Amino acid sequence: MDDTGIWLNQQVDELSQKQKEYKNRAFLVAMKKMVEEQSKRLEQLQGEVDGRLWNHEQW
Amino acid sequence: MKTLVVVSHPKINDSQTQQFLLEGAKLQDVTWHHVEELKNIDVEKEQSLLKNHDRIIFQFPLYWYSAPSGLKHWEDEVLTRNFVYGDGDDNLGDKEFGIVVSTGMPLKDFCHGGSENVTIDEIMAPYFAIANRAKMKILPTFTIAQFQYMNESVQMQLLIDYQRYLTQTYPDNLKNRQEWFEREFADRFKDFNDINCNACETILDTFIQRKENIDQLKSTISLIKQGEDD
Repeated sequence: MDDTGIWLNQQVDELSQKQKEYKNRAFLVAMKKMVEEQSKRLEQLQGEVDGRLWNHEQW
Repeated sequence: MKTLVVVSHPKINDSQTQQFLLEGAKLQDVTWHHVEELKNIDVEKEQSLLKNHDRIIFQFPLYWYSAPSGLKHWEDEVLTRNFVYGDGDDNLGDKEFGIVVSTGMPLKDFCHGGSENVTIDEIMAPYFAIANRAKMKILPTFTIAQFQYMNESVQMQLLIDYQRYLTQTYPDNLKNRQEWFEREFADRFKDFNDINCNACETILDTFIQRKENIDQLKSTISLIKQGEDD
């Protein structure tokens, strides 16, 4: 996972542990998964950009 | 967007699953409507309830591959031919229709060759047929299998997935999921004020920034693709 993703996940995790209300904790647990999905998608898209920009005909 | 959850369960107070979902459904713009609690079905009132919502959800436990009889009775009374399609008014047209169904059997059994030898979608066919007749947009069914065996973290995820099912824009893609979390975090942010949450604003800003980065990368790819076509 990228650095920002790791940092964001830690922040959400810390916030989640401070929550007394079940619903808030649940929301933040699910948000962590959302952040992980963002990271995966960012990595895939960056990979696709790199792959498409790499043009063997311009070697 | 307003969501109506038409719930059918003959012993709703004894159902852990339904009580859990009831807590989840306590959201702005979500109406919980338990049909077995209605002493008399006032058809006009029920029809106007349907008309006043944009997303209609039928929610029930699976009893012998169908809903409890309470829902069928409600359907037979409320969904009159003229209301659904006969008077040419399309009262339900363009609304969204979804099903939340729970079962004590494992989800893997609901497939051809599985112990149930039938899929959830096949069992739900009569409801999809009604929705189709009413020109409604059908959402993928939300199935809850073996709630009693779920551990706490799975239940937490279920609660939020259920809330998204009730209130998130469809289709359920990354863009719509991110927007839902962004909006909900901002809304629930207010409730975080009772604790020390200096990080809340930064969390939200970072989340939004990453969403925008994804959009930016997508548009870059789209430009490259256009160039490849030329």
